[in-house]
Amino acid sequence: MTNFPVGMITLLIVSILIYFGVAHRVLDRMRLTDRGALAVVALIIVGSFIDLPVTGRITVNLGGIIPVILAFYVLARAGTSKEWVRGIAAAVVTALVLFLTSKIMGAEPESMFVDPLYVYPLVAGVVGYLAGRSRRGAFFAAVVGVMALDIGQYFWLVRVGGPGIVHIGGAGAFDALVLSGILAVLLAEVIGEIRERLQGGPRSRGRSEALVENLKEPHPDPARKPLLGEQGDEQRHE
Amino acid sequence: MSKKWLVKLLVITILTTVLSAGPNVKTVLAETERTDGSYFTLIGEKGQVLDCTALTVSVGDEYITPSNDRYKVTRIVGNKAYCEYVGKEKMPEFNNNTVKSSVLSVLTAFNKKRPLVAIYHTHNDEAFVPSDGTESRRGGGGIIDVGETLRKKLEAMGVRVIHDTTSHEPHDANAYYRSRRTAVKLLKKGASLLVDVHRDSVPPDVYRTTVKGNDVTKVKLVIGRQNANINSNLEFAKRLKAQMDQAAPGLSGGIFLGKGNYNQDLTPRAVLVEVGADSNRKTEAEKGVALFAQSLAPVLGIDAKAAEKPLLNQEKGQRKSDWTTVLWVVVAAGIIYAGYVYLNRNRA
Repeated sequence: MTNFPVGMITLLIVSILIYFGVAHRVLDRMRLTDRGALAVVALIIVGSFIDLPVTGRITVNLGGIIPVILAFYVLARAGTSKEWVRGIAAAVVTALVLFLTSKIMGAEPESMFVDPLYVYPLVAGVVGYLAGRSRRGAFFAAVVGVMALDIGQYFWLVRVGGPGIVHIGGAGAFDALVLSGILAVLLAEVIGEIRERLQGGPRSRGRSEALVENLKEPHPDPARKPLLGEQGDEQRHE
Repeated sequence: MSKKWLVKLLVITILTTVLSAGPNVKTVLAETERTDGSYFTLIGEKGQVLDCTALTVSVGDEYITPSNDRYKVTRIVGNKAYCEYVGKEKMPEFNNNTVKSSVLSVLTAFNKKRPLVAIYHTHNDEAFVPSDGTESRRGGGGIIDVGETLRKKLEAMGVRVIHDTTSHEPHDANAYYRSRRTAVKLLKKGASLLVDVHRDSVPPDVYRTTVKGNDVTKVKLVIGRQNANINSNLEFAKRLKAQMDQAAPGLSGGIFLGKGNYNQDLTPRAVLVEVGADSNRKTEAEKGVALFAQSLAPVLGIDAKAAEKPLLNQEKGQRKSDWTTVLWVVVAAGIIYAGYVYLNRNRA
């Protein structure tokens, strides 16, 4: 790293701090404890430096693959089979939409109306939220839906027999897999929160007492984690 | 799954596809039209042709012409993009005897290494029809040879270079998703600058030029508007163009500010270059990129004539733009955080 001016170094550091700060906050909202979220962020950072060859055509970056493992973990802990089905359906729809979008969007730099990098979380966030109205659903749809692009590339490479390796999560912490997951959760959250604000607070009629109790602010008991993600998701089940 | 659910999913699929790609449906039309050789022409207020470029141009795109006039696309009719004149772009004054008295000189003194330039190709299949016989070759087209010429030229001038030829095929919108991984890999290796080398697809005359009596292709710089580092990247591109105008007048094809980020969000020092078009000869593109290398080296702080040691190259404009970007990033993050706190404020 030579000839890097101080302004530029500061820019890089500030961007990275903000990025990981946001990542931590998002994980925090998905049933992970504060410490758990921090551990995941740390694993993503450290894992970014480790590439594991799987087959001749596939390598996996440890940092980039952690969101995939996490996606299955949060969905497995979702509790209801309904959320499972919805999460998987959302991921399939996301993959399908991304595939269709790639056919419609131009490939040339001048032709894109929006960078694909931002299309992935946009699609996954919207689909994930609509399908399950949950942050975890959006996260799962984003991560698994975007990973389907790699699976697609693998089959394309095998079919045409051309040279090339699929580097799943190859950009580590900055891979579109990770970025999409984080942005999709934020998007689902913004949509969800705004909707709740508009309707004057979360719906509580017909909900179990424990859930309604949890919707209140956690201030009275500082030892208790806010767990807003959990409650938000749970209470939105139909 | 119930029938109701299947219908719901179908509606979601259609809606999100249309929403995410809707404005670009005309791209498909443009691509279809392109088979008869059509392309977009940028037209100025007096009806003069500013530039031609392949595929779709959108309203809001900007273009800095080789003579440093900045235009913005305001209206698109068919394949014509009408532009309004924004003004004369203030270009950095380039001085090879650059500032040596800054904090950086101390930092650089500790680091004897010369800058590391990383060259890669998001569209590694791109080729040159007159030389390669095709416009696209699976596994690696003529564009790889252009990248290789750039590597050799830079190395001869004392710049450390990595030329990465990783394949990011198929050639579609997701190529950047795949090349992002290559870009990060190169940054991890310590790249000070990322150069994504492409070729355009327009008629040969758009890029054909003569520099110092040699037939070469022009080199156009492309900067993405959808990234936080745009100020820094644009400032770098402007310095590069200023150097090209000084060292090889006629070589620059201007700076295009397109939508997208082209992995330029990863570092404040990244640039996408279009070296000629598919209709140009590869040899001309190679000559063009060789001249480009001669302009790139001084911008990196390497004296192209005597490349023994790195010079410090701290341009005031570049420094200012870096700090402006820092400020913007912090302000934007602050606003977003405030909104977040507001949304999650006490629900009494």
